[in-house]
Amino acid sequence: MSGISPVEPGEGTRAGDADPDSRPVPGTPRQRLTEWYTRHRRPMLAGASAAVLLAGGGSFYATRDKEPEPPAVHPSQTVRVTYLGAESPPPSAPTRSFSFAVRVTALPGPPVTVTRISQPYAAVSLTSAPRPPFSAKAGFARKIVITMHVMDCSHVPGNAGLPFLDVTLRNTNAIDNHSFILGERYAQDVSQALRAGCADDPESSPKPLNTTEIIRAHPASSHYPDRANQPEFRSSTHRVPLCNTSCHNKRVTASDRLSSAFPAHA
Amino acid sequence: MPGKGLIVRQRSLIAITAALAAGALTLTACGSRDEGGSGGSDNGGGTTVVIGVDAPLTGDLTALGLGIKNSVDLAVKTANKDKYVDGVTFEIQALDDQGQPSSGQQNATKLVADEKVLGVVGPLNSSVAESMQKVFDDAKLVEVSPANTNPALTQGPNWQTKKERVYDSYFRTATTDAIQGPFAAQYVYNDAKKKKVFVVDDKKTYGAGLASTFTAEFKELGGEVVGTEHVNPDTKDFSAVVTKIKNSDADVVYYGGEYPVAGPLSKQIKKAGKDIPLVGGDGIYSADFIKLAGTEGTGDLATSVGAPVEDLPSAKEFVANYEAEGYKEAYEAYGGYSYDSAWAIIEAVKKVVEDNDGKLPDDARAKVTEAMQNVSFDGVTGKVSFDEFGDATNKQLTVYSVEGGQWKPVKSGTYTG
Repeated sequence: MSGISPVEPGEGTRAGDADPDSRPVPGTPRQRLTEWYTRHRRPMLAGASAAVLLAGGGSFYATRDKEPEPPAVHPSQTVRVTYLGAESPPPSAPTRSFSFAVRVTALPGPPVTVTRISQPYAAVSLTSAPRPPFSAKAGFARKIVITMHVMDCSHVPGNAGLPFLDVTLRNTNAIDNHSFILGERYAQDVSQALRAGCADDPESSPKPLNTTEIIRAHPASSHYPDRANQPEFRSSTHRVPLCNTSCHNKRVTASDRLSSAFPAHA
Repeated sequence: MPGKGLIVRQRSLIAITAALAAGALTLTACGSRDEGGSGGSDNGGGTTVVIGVDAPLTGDLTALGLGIKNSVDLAVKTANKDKYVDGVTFEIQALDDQGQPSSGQQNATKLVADEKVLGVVGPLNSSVAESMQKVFDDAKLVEVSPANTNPALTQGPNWQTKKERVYDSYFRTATTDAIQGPFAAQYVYNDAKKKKVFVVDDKKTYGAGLASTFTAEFKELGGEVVGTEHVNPDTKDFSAVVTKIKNSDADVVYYGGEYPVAGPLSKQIKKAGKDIPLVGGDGIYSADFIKLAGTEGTGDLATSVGAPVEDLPSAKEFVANYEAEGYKEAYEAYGGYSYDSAWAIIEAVKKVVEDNDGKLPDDARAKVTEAMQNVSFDGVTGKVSFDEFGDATNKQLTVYSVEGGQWKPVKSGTYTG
């Protein structure tokens, strides 16, 4: 066995062997500190131990294996907008207005704020009730009434197959300007409403299928710069859309319109 | 470098794992498995099911084709690693159709002849799909395309007037051109403010169909078609068409076709002094388009199926795993959809096996095809399920623009009709 410590205490290793000059002098600050420590040794040690434990625990907590953060979800992936159908426009709506309802549904994910609802046609304006911004948390399902107002009949689309409803959505991760393509029924209702809204003035009615000819025949001069001259659409019998179940049967479907254009297999 | 203690522990773990594996193998070997002439093959330790892949693995469309193949491979590896279908090991058999319908049909016949094949992912091209559908349907072998967009493939040749499913065995995870064409037209007319278009297509099923649905909507919106031309996809000199475009007052070119033509066409249009964007569909949404178009392609636009994969939380794991596997080729436009197509087959196989006491039934192919109709799962591209025509119920599209030598998403849309 090869011990390296002294078998017996060596010189100067006993307490009593210590240099007498190194002992605290009574009445000095060092002596008072020593006496205070002697009196409070146990609480001091307990406190120090607690501090060490706390520091260790804190360090362990800070360096623990963290749960993976949920992936950043774009708000457009957690919100759905579906078309419900035509509605009566509000009494305060201007002439050439029509309304329909959509349902905004929030799927599981971070809360989303709907900050804007718009549509892409320059000749048509849009308002909604409720007005954005409004929040949509998971489980949110709310009916939103959209009212569109035709400002310029000469520039509204004739019979668009897949019009958008553009919705700007925001969550903590991103802002998305997302197009919701509400399908054939929405396209039909919008086209029907636009036609009905502008039908009483042939100079400014929406463009039929051969748009090239119509663009040439109806230049921008056919606008309604003076609203007072516009036909009245908001009377009870002319309010657009006059859309109920029966009027769907009269519409030209998107499929019909595409049939002449789509070729046989190449 | 690991410490000695760690090495000792690792050795112990290896020994224990080996012992457990040996035990498991022994138990598996002791179990009997009667396949009864069904699809798949009993390899002694379970059943092997092959998922066929048909895509252009050589030729001009290789970039997209290899992205499809690799993504299916990843799905199969993931299913095997997770032992997702108890007792079943998946393999892939990838065949090259070179983008040619005749090759696709030969591949379909070959895949049908292999009884281990219980599902096929592909093809890329709608024209190739047309040549394969009947072969698969006669054999009741399910086919899930991640990329075909021609509406007629699911909704019948008269889909415009009367939607009618022709082949019960055909499914797809991609959105159709019935939506993609109008979506592009709406963006080009309303957002990009382009009013006069020159339309070019390659006369193929996909290209002509997409150009047609785009044109119809563009005209409805008030846009003007100032010229139309067809090109031969086998040529690279488009000077005659470029001259016509240059002499027109078009402010945009729409091309129905794929990037091997679209890239050079875009470049030649700009080189001729006509600085207008070229717009196309998912067939040009490839990094190879940018290579072919060069810097002149900046500002060109493409629509493609789905939301940007990188933006989908559901796709992050796919992207990470794809990178981890070290595939040389990018997953490209259809990677996420290919993974989901393969996984749909895996889900259908799982359902069939579980419904048959853990074994494949005699009529496994028919049962898998039947099960596919009700498959529903959260995939890479979102919720994956199919409607009554075999079309994906999840219909998203995105407009991309070439900026800084890359495709950058500009706007996404979701069809909720």
